[in-house]
Amino acid sequence: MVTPTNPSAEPRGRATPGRPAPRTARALRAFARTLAAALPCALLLATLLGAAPQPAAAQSSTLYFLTVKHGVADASGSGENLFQTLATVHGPVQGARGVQTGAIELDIYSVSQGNAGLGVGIEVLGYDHAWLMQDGLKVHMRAKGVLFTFKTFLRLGNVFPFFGAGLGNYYVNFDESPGGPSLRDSPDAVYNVRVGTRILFGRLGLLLEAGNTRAQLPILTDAGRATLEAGGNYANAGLSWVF
Amino acid sequence: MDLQSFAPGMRRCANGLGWAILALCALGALAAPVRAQNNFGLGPLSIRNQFPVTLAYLTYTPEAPATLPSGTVQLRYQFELTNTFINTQSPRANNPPVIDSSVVSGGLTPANFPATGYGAYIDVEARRHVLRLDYGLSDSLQAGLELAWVSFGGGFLDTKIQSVERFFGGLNKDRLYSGIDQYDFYVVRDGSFLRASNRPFSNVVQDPVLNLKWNLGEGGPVLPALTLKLSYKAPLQAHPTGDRALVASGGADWGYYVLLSKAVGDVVGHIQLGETHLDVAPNTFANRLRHRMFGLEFRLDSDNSFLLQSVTQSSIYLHTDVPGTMDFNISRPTDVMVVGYKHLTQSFLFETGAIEDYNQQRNESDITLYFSLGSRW
Repeated sequence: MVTPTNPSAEPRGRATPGRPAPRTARALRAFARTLAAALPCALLLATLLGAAPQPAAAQSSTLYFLTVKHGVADASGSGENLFQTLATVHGPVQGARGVQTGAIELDIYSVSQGNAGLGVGIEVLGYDHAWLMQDGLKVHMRAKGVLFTFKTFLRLGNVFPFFGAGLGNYYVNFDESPGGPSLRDSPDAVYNVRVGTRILFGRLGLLLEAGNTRAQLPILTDAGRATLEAGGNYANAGLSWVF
Repeated sequence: MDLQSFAPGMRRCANGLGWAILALCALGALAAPVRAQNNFGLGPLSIRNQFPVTLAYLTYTPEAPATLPSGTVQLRYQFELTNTFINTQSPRANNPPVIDSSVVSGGLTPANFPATGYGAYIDVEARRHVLRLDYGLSDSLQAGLELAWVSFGGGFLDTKIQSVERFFGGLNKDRLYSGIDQYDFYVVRDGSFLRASNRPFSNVVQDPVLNLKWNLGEGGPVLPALTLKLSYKAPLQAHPTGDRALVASGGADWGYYVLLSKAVGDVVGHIQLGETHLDVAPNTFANRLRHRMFGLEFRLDSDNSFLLQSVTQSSIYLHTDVPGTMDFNISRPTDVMVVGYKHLTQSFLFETGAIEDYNQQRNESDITLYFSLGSRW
C-alpha cells in the first residue's frame, strides 16, 4: 500500500530570485558530476586490479550482492515537460532539478562461465523531493520504484564491470501546494538501462554505476496536461555485502 | 579546480566507456564456454488476479515457460482463498455520501454512491476451486483447459487480517467501519449498479478457459527461454444471470502473453508480459488489461524452488482524467507481491503461496492464500 504524501516536507534547493544558485542545488550537481567523473577512473582502476587474486567469495559459482546505494537522478528526460508546463503559470523552477535517491539492491551473478557471465538484480529505490516555483508554488514528488534488471558482466579478478537492462514499477505521489492537484499514480511502463562496475574486497564490495530509467506519467496539473518523468539519468555509489 | 568545466568531457568519456563495457560484456558472454543450461526453472507461481470485479473475466495467469513433453498429461487442482475489502465511500475517504456499517445493514442502493463515476463497497471472501488439464501436443506445444468454481461469502479472515495489519502497522482503517465477516458486493458507475449482491453463494461455475503454449526456444548461456501463450475464455452463456453473472461475464475474452526465463547460477529470473482483451459492455469496464510480471526463483534443488514475484495489472476500471477524484485513483495499475514454494517432479506437482497487494488504490484484493496439487502421466 502506498502511504499518503507528506505535504509539509520542506523543499530542498530553495532559492531566492536574484541570488546565486543555492548551495544544496550546487552540491547536488557537483555530486552527480563527481560520480560521472569517478566512473571512468574506477573502470580504469578496475582493469588494473584485474590481475589481483580473487577473494574467497568470488570462487563460488553464484555470487549474491546485497547493496545499499545512494545517488542522484535528474528526474527528467525526452518527452518530459512537467516543469515547462508549470513554468507557463508559475514561473521557472528555483534551484536544482535533480533529486537524491536511496536504494537497496539484491544482485545475483552467475560466475561459472570463465571471464563473463549473466546476472539478475532486484532493487527497491525511492526519493522524496520538493521544488519551489518562482511564484512560491511548491511541487512535491515522492517516488518509490522496484527495478528488475538482467545484467551481463565481465570478470576481471576482483572487478566486475557490467551492463544491465530491465523493467520495473514506479509509484509516484505528486502534489502542488497550496491548492493544486494531488495524485498518486504509476507509469504504464518502466524501462531501465545501466552500466557500472563492482569491485570486491573480500566479503565487501564497492559499486559505481550510471544509467537511465524511463518512467513517464501523464498528469493534469493546474497549468494543464504534462508528462512527469519519475526516473531520468542517474548515478549511484554503493557498498555491498557479498555472499 | 572548476569541476563544471570538466563535466561535459567526463560525461562523454563515461558514455563512451559505458558502450565499451556493453560491447565487451556482450562479446565476453557470447565467447563463454557453452554448457547445458536449464533456463526454465520450475516456473513462476501460477495464480491469476483474484479481485472480485475481474474474476468474471479472463486475465493473465503467470505460467512456467516450459511445456509438457509430447503425449504427457497433467491434471491439476488448485484452491484459492481471497479476502477483499474496499469502500470508496468510507468515512475516511472524504468522498460523500458516506457508507458505514449502519448504512450497509439497511441495504445499499445506487443513491449511496456518487451520481457520476465509480463507487464500490466490496466486502468479499472468495473461494475458488480450479481444475486444469494440460496435454503436450509436441515437445514444444501444449494445450490446456481450465474450469473453476467460485464461492462468495463473508468468510472468516477479517479479524485475522486486521490483527496482522495492526502488527505490521498497516491497518486498513476502512475495515473498522464495517461488520466482521460480512458479505456485500456492490459496484456502481454513473448511478447504476454494475454489481449488486449481498447473498452468499457457493460453487458457481465460471466460463472455461482454453490455453495454448508454444515454446520457441530453451535459450542458452546468454539467451533466455522464450514461450508464447494464448488464452481464450469461451462463454457458457451469452447473458448469465443471478449469482453466475458475478463470476462469469458471458463474453469471449482472449489474451496473449510472452514468457521469458533465464537461469543465473542457482536463481532463475522470470519476466512475463501480455495483454488481455475483454468483451465488456460499453461504458462499464476497461476492455483491455495489460500485465507484467518479474520474479526470482531460488532453486533449492532440481525439484524445489522458493519464489518471489511481482505482478502488475492495469485497472479494470475505465480511466477518467479527473485528478483528485476516486475515479482517477481506482484506474491506476495495481501491484501485488506473490511469495511461495514450488515442488515439481516428473509425476507430481505441489505449489503453495500467498499474494499481498503493495500498491493499489481501492482496486485490488487484500490477501490471497492458495495451494495446488497436480499429477503427470
